[in-house]
Formats: sequence, C-alpha cells, structure tokens
Amino acid sequence: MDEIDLAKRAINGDETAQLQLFALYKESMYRVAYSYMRNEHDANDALQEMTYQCLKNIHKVQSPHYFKTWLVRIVINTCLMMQRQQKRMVITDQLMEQPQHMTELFELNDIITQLPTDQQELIHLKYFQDLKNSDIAALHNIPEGTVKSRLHKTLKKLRHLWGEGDIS
Amino acid sequence: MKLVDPEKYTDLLDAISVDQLHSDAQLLAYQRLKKQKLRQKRFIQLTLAAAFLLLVMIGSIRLSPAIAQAVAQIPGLKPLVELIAYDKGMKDIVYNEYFEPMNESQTRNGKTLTITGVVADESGMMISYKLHSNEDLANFKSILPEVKHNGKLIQAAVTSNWPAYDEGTYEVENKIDVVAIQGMDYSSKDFELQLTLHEEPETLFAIPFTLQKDIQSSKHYPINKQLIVDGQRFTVHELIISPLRSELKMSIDSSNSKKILNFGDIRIYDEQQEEWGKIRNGIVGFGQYEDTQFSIMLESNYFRTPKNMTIEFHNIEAINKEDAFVMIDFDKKQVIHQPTTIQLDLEIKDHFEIQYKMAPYHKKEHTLAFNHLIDAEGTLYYANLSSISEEENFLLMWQAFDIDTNQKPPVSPVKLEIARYGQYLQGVGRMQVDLQ
Repeated sequence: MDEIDLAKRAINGDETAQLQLFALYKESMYRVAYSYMRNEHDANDALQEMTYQCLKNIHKVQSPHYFKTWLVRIVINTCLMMQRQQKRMVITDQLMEQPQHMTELFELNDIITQLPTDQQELIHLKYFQDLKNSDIAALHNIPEGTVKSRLHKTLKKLRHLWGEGDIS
Repeated sequence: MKLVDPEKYTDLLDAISVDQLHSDAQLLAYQRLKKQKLRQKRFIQLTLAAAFLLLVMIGSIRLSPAIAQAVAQIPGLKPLVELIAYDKGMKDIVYNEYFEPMNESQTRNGKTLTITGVVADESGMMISYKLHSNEDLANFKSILPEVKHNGKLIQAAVTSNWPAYDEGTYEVENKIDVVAIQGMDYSSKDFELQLTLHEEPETLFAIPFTLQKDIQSSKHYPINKQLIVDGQRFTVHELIISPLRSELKMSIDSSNSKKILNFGDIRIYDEQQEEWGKIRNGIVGFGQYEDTQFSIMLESNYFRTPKNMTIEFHNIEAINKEDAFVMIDFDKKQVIHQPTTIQLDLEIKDHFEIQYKMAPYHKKEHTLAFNHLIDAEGTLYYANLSSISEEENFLLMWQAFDIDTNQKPPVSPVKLEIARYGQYLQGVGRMQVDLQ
C-alpha cells in the first residue's frame, strides 16, 4: 500500500493506519525534534507531543495529498512551542560537549529558527520528502514558479544569515 | 567566514543517531489521546445528565417545609428532599421505609466518600452519598460513577450530576441514579460503587456494599391498547410499576402521516381523579420513537396500588413526515432539501458543523432543531456539542456532530432530522388501565 492510501485511511479514522503512518515518519520527526531541542530526552518528549497533536487533529486534513505539509507544520510548531517552554527553564546540562557536526547542526538550526515559520516548514518539507517543486506547489495551492522563487528566496536568506553569522 | 550550503542541514539531520529514540514515544501519545477522548465522552454524558436534572429544579416544590425538615433529619435522606417534593413515588419509598440506610465509607487523598443509603428495585437503584473533602470541591470538574456486580460493570445507565459548586464547598450530599432497562440482577446482593473525581491526579473510590432488604418485585400490567389522536396511531403495550419508577412500553404506527417528535406531557390519575404522576425527570426514556418499541419513564405509585389508572397524553409534538428532515451536503456546503414550513437560515461550516437561526416556539425555550443526523450510508451521528445564543429576535444555534464514536466522517448527503417543531396533535389521548 502506498503512503497516499495509508494517509487516506488514517484521515478517515483507521487507527492502525494512523499508527503505521506516524511510525513511518518516526525517525524524521525525531531528528527534526533533536535539531530544535538539542538533547535526546527533550527530543523524545517532542516526538510524543507531536504524535499526540497529529493523532488528535488528523481528521481535519482535507486530503491525503496535503498530509505531509500538514505533518511538517505540526512538527515545526510543536518544536517551537516546546523550545519556548524550554527557554523558560534553567538550562544547565545543555552545554555538554557535542560532536563537531552536531555543533554545526545546532548553529544552522539557530539560523533557521530566525526565519518565519512558513519558511521553516518549507525547508523541512524538503527534508521530509524530496518532493518535486510541482508537488509542493500543489500542496500549498500556489503556482510552481512561486515555489521556486520562494525556495530561492529562503535559500538566499539562509545564505545571507549564515554569512552574517560569522561561522568559521 | 565560511559559506555553507544549507542543503548541508539535511545531511546533518540524517547524521543524528536514533539510538536514543524511545520506541514507545508514539504509542504513549496514542494512549494519552485515548484516555483524553474517554474523559471527554464521559464529561458530555455527565453534562447531559446534569441538564436533565436542571429540568427537575424547575418543577414546583409541593412538599410542606415541615415534612421536608423532618425528612432531612433522617441520615442519608438529605439528597432526596427535593426529589420527594416533586416525585410522589419517592415520597412513598420514604414513608414505606423502602429506603435502606447505609454507612460505608472510604478515604482517599484526604477525601472521604460515604454511601449513606440505597433504594434498589428491579428497574435500577438510587444511591445517596456524602463526600467530604480536604480541598475545595469547587475545583472539581466532574465525577464518574460506576457500579460493579460480580466483578463486572452492570448493564445499566449510571448517571449523576455534579453542579458547579460554590467556592468554599467542602462537603456535599448527592445521589447516583442507576436505570437498567433489561432489569437488575440480584442473584448476589453484593455490589461495588466506584466513583472517580476528575482532577489531576484523579481520586478513585471503590466501596463495596451489600443490600439487606428484600427487593420488591416489579408489577407488570399488559395493556396492548391502541390510541388514535388527530388521526395518528400509537400503542401502549405494557405498564411496569417498580418502586423507583413506572415504565410505559410503547410503539408508534409506521403508517402515520405525521412523525411524533415528543410525548412531552403524560399524566396519570387514579380512580379518585387524583393526579398521580407525570413524566419522570432524569432519564425520561429509552430508545427512539422510530424504534419498534421504546419506553417512557413515569413517576411510580407502587406502594399505593390504586384500583385503576387513567393515562393521558397531552401536547404530542408532531410534524408531517415529508417535512421532518433537512437534507444537506457537507462537501458542497449546500442545502439540498428544506421544508418550506421551517425557517432556519442554515449555514454549513467546516468540520461537519452547522449554524442556524430559529425563533423560539415558546417563551424561554432553548431547544435545538436537531438531535442527530443520518449520513448517506445510514450511520447515525449525535450532535455532541451545541451552543445557543440569544439574539434580538431569534436564537442563534450551533451544532457539531460526534465523529469520534463512528470513527469516520459522515458521507454526504446527510439527513438532519427535525427534533422540535412547536406544533401539537389536536386532542388528548386517554386510556384506562385496570390494576386489580
């Protein structure tokens, strides 16, 4: 069964399909959560929270074709919300030594976090599925040219922020 | 300064180890949602029960203050005072000492629940209780009562009300109603009351209790008489009188030209023409009028045994069958059919919600136009969330339908069945039942 069929069943309330579907994206969801939360414990909490939000709201997805955009939106929003909560707590063990490539990831995530939410979604949508630009256009209900220019703008903005960030 | 390709972000994400990913994180989310849904469902059920009880309060209090005072002195009877005032059957239960006082209690998290008494018959039970708390009871949102017998939940509707208590309330007395349409099983007289107080964390009481008194058998009177009111036929099959309530088993002739929406006013007189009973508040009936048989609950005169009884049906609300529904399409957001006799200004919203304007049929009437819908596949969806707001010349009503129970959204076109119309059959249905 392909993902669209699975998504269709899940949207219609088939609980087995829902669990299968989210299990399919479990690792991607966890990894994005980790990039925002920066430790395993909080990433697992975020994974639980985003799955909860997904299960609770999946009946609102209009069509299985919109499923992935919708999923990414929930993933990003949950991460941002939990990040805000995290900031209110005293961070003590956050400054543990991280491998070089993780430091790089977090720095890049810091820059992504400064982007508007819809642009954060766009980047992660690319990650979640190497979607063709035409698919993204259909998902967002915007012309393909607009997607290209938006992506281009996002990438440009990222490069700009990255450059200004003085990462060496 | 180093310029990094943002595509690298994707590679870095892929480099994150998933060794520490909790394999049950998603399952926990699923369980959390299940629990949440169950709570919401129960809360709605409790709210419904509370709404019925609110109706009760409107009934006039006929009991003299002196009797009320006297009754209130008997331990465990305080929650029944108001009941005795409007329900003659309840008054008889007290006078005939059929009420069984108890004193079984349990303390959990600084709160003590005491069963103060029980009335048990074949139709169900009424359990009165006292709850003493170390915390302000105004903080609690609801309770969930359940009754177990032989280790299993009994097959019955167990309802209670939990009003919004005033701040500073530390002790309440109230009652729990048990209505078993299939009858109660008293093969063992040991039961257990479970009561959950809703807060975080929850407090769960489980108190075993044993009935000592003999259970009074229900009296069955077969009737099988057909009544015709305004050309519409319905049949009363049987009258069952138990100490707590009387039950009229009825059916409606399917060939009627009108659909009966409500038997709102049923009166019972004894041979002395004394008005004996009326529709009992709380649980008023079981089943739908469309069912082959349904039941209406009336006050009991179990301990009186009159020679005969006259049952009268007044104000039977009805609508022409062809006007009894509105057909809509949720996908196209279109009204497909609407009877010309009904003004609604119906608006179809997202997520299977509707909004409409209605003039009240009576003063202070706040009843919705629909109780449920039937989708194209014949599945029934109850309106589980509704709101009514009063505007200058009309009531603005909003309703959402329970998708969770059926686990699938309704398939359009759907039929919204009219539940209130404000028009009544001409005449009164009357029948005499010999009880000797």
